[in-house]
Amino acid sequence: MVEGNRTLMVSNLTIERGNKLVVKNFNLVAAPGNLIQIVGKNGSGKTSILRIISGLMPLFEGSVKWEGKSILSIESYYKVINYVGHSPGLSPELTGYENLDLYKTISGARKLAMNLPEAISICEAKNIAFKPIKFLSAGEKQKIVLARMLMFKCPLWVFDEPFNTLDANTQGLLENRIDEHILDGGIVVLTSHQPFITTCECQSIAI
Amino acid sequence: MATFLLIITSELRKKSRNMSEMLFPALFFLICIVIFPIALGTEKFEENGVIAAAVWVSAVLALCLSLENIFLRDYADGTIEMTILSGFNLPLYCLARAVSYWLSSGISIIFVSMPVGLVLGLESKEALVLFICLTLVTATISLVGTSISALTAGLRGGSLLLITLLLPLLLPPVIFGTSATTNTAIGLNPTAELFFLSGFFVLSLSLAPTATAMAIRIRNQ
Repeated sequence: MVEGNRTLMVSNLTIERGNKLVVKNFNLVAAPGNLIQIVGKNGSGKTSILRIISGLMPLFEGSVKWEGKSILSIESYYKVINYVGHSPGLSPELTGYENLDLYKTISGARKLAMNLPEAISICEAKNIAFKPIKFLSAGEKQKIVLARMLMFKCPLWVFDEPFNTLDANTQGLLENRIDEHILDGGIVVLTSHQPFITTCECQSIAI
Repeated sequence: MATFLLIITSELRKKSRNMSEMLFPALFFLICIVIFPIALGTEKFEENGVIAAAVWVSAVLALCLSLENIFLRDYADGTIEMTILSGFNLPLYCLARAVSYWLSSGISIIFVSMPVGLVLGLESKEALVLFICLTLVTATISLVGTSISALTAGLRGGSLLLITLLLPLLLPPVIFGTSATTNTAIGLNPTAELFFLSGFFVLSLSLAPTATAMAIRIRNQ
């Protein structure tokens, strides 16, 4: 169970890119059990917002707070975040298993939700986990990425187009996982151009 | 410590599955050093200190040319992003990357340069000093080069920028390294230069990992 008071608050976020204003005064409040979809056109700054929430990009203007504290001042913020971005973050020469094993080891400080073989079998990636990543298709890579994500127990899930390239079967699997996480009191913030099914209430925020 | 070793072994495994990249520094070194006797003529080439100088030029060039590759792919495929999010001590990660770069490129150059130098007519005492100096200098270049590579990899004109930034940092160790070997060739004691080289190595060992970590954070924005 994820305890209460774990709230993400984004206020007055303004993003500039190349001297052009991309996002102006973006606000978001996510309490435990919230599923939030950020909706917008291509290039409207969705990815930038998610990267800022994850602490990967610096803040230009506005604030991002977790449990009332600015994320810049929380040293162990990486334990809060489970981020799935556009690029898979897998080394092409290594196999999926080697990639995840290395990642699990360097993430030693984070809480584990399950061990590596279990995560791989849940994502139905058993038969592709021992092939080098460069021989996998985009969807197969995404399965490995999902297995990596499922390994860790984090209250806040930040997904950037997670359903991209996934087949219907795997998409269903991820949808179920998102539902479980929400019912468990977690938070999911995601962007998706594809429609997806959820049994929970999904708030949409347009930019 | 176990994590540190795992990062290094994973890096070496990556390199070993990409043979062309692995063999590039040593092959480049061989090509480079073969040109010297051809260009200089055998008489000039056998003068005191020239062989050692040829080894130096080839080794430094061979090492510098592959520096850009250290972080190039990691930026492109998002591995660096995930490493930042893992919460692992970033300077330690960067140190592991520098060590694995040295183990794959630096060592291969050193081990090719020794037999080649001896075959070309280097004396055994000169060869020993050259071996020690090359070890220290390649390690220093690996550390400094990793931090500059983290800053420039993937930028337009990145490799040019890398060489330009690296040159002033590279010259002092190379100057002391070459003077150590030429001094040995004419019968002087190279201890002072060896101390200086060790000093440069320790300095870069203590500063470069932190600089690399900062460079990674800046680039990842």
